[in-house]
Amino acid sequence: MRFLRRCRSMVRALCLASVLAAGCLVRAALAAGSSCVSCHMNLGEAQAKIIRDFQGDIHHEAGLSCHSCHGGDPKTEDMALSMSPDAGFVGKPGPTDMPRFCGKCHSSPAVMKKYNPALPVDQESKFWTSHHGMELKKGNAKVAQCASCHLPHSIRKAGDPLSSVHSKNVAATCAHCHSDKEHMKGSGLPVNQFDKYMKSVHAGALYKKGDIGAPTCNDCHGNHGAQPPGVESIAMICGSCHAHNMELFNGSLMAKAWKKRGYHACATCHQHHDILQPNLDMLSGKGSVCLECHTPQHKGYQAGAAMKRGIEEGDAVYSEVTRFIDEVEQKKGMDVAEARDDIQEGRQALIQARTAVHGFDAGKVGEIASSARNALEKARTFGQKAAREFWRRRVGLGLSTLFITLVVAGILLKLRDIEK
Amino acid sequence: MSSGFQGSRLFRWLDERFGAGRLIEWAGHKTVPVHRGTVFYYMGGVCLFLFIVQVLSGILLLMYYRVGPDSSFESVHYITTKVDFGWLIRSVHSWAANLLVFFIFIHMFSVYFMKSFRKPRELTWVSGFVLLCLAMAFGFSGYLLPWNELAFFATKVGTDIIGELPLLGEWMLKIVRGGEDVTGATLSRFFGLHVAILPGFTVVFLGIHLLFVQVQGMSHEGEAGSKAMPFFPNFLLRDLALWLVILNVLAILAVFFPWELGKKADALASAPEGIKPEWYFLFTYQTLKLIPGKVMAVPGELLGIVLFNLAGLLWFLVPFWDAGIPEGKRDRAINYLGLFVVMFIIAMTIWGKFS
Repeated sequence: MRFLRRCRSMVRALCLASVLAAGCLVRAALAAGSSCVSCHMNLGEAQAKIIRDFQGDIHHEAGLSCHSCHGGDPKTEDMALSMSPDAGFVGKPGPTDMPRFCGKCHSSPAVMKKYNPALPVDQESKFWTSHHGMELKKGNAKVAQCASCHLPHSIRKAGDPLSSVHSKNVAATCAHCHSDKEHMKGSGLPVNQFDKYMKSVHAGALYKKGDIGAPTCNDCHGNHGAQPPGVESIAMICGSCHAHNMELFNGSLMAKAWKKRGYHACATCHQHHDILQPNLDMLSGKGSVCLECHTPQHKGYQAGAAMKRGIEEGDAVYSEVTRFIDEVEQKKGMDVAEARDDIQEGRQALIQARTAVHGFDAGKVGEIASSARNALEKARTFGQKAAREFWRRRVGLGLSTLFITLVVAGILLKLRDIEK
Repeated sequence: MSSGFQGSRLFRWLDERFGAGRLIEWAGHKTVPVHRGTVFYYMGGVCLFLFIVQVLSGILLLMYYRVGPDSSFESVHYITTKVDFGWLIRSVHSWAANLLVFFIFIHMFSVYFMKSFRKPRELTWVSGFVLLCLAMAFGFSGYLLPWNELAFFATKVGTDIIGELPLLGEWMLKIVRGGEDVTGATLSRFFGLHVAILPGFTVVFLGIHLLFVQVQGMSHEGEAGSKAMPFFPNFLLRDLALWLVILNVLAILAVFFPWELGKKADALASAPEGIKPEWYFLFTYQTLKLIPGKVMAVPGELLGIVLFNLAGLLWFLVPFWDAGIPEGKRDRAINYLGLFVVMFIIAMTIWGKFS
C-alpha cells in the first residue's frame, strides 16, 4: 500500500513538473518574441511537440530558432506577413530539397565557422556521392536524406546518447528503413542486415560490453557518403581497425591469389554483417572456411590444420598451467606473481599466433605458438618450485617443532630434577 | 656447573674488576612468589622475549627493506619471494608484533587485578604504560611500511583523527604526515619513527622498567602464607621453556598463516571496502563510530578523542588516585573498574571486527 501511495505521489509530482516545464518553455519562447511559437503552440499536439522537442535541439542550443531554417518574420503576429515569401519564408522542405535546405548553412564554411568550426562542411557534397544521394537525384523520395537519420527538431550531437546517430543508436536508425520490407521493395537489397549485425562480435562489443568505439553501420559504410564497400576496399575498411591482420594478409601469398579470383579479402572467411567471434574450427575440421576452396588433401588445408594444432596445444598448456598456478596460490598460499607474468607472456603470444594466421604461414604461427608454450612452461617450473617450497616449509616446521619439544621436555626434566 | 665457573680464572678476572661475585650472590637470593597468580609473572618475560624477536627480525628485514613509495612495496615483495627465509622473517615480525601487543595487555591487566601497581611500584606501572603506548606506536608506524593498499588507507583514516583535534589538529596532522596527505614523506617519517626514535625510547623505558622490577623484587613477595621459588634457575628455566613454546607458535603462524602483502598502495585508487585499523585500535575506532556526529554542539569525534584521552590519563595515573579511595572499598572499586574496561575492550573489538 505504502509503495502504491508513493508511486501515485511520484506520478503526480512528475505531471506537475512536466506542466511547469512546458509552461516555462512557452513563456521563454514568448519572451523571445517568436510569433512562430505563439501560433504553432496552439495548432494541436503534433505542432506543440515540435516546439517542445526543439528545446533540446543542438540548433536551439546554438541560439537558432524556427525562422533560421524556415525563414519568415517571427516578430510579427500577423500570419500573412510573418509567413510571406517576402519575409524569406520557405516553409517545410520536401525530401528532395532537404540536402540543399540543410546545406545552406552546413555547406558554408563561413556560416559554420560561427557555430562549430570543427564540423566538416562536406556532408552535402558527400551525400550526393552516396547511393542515397544518387537515388534522390533521380527523384526517388524514399531514400534517406538528412532528416531521415537526424530527426528534425530534435537533432543532437552524435556523442549525445539521446541522438539518433549516437553509435549505440545508429544500427536502429539505419534499420528503420533497411529492415522494412515494404520500404525496401524494389531496391534489390536484403532486409536482414540488422538481424545479422546484432549477432556479430561487433554488436556484442558495442551493446554487451558497452564499447562505443566498436563498429556499427557507418564505420564500414560511411555516413553521409554511405556506400556498400567494394571488393577492393573491404580489406582497407576492416584494416582501419584490424591493421595488423590487414598487413599480414596483404603480405601473404593468399592475397594475390584471391585478388585474381575476385574474392573479398576479409569477408570471404568472416562474412560481413554477421561477423562472428572467430574460432580455431575455422581453420580445419567440419566447419572450416578453408574447405570452401581447398579439399582436405590440399597443402593449403593441411597448413590450416597445422596452425590450428599449434595454437590448440598452446591453449591446452595455458589452461593447465593457469589451473596449476591458481591452485599453488589459492590452496597453498604461495606467492606466484612471477609465474603470472610468464602466463601473461604466454597468453600474449597465443593471441599473436591467432593474428599470425592471417599471414597463412604455418611455420610462423608454429614458431609463435611454441614461444607461448616456452613462457608457460617457465611459469609451470616456477609453480613447481613454489609447491616444493610449500612442503619444505612444513617439513622444516615439523623438524623445528620436534627440536623445540625435545628441548622443552629436557628443561622440564631438569626442573623436576632440581626441585626434587 | 656454576660452581665450576665460579672457580675459574675468567670468573676471578671478572670478579676483581666488576664484582661478578656480588651479582651471583644477589641473583641467588632472588625469589618469585608461588600462588594462584604465579602464571602471570611469566607475562612480562614473554613480552621481553617478543620484543627481542622484534629487534632481531627487524634488523634482518632492514638488510633488504628500502624505504620509499617506489621501493617499499617492491622490497617487501622481494623479501617474501626471493630472499632465503625472508618469508619467515617477515611473517614472524608481523605475528610477533601482534602477539607482543596482546601479551602487553595480558601483563598490564594481570598487574592491575593483582594490584601490583600500588606503593612502592607506582613508577613501574607508569613506565609499563609508556611501554604499551610505544608498542602501539610501533604497530601503527610499522603497518604503513610495506606501502600496500590496506596500510595506506588505514593510515589515512588513522591520521585523520589527529586533524579533528581543536586548534593544533591541522598543524599536528601536517607534522605526522609530512604534508597534507599520506605520501612518501609520511612513509619516510614512519620509517624513521619505527627504526630509530621508538626503539631508542623503548630501550630507555624498558631499562627503567626492568631496573625497577629488579630493585623492588616481585610483588606479593613475602606475604603471609605465600611460598616462593628461586628465580635462578627454577623460574628462569620455566621462562625459557615458555619462550621456546612461543617461538614455536610464531613459526606455526608464519608457516600456516603467512602475513599477506596485498596490492601496492595507489593514492589515486578508491579506498577498498572494509578498511579497519589493526585489532588493538579496533575498540577505539568502533567507539568513535558509535558516537553521533554532534553531541550538544560538540563534534562527536572530538568528544570521543577527548574522552579516550581522559580515560587513558586516568588509567595511567591509577596508582596515585587509587590511594585516595577508602580502604574498605578500594579493592572492589578497582576490580569493578578493571572488569568494565576489559569487557568494554572485548565487546567493542568483537563489534568492530564483525561490523
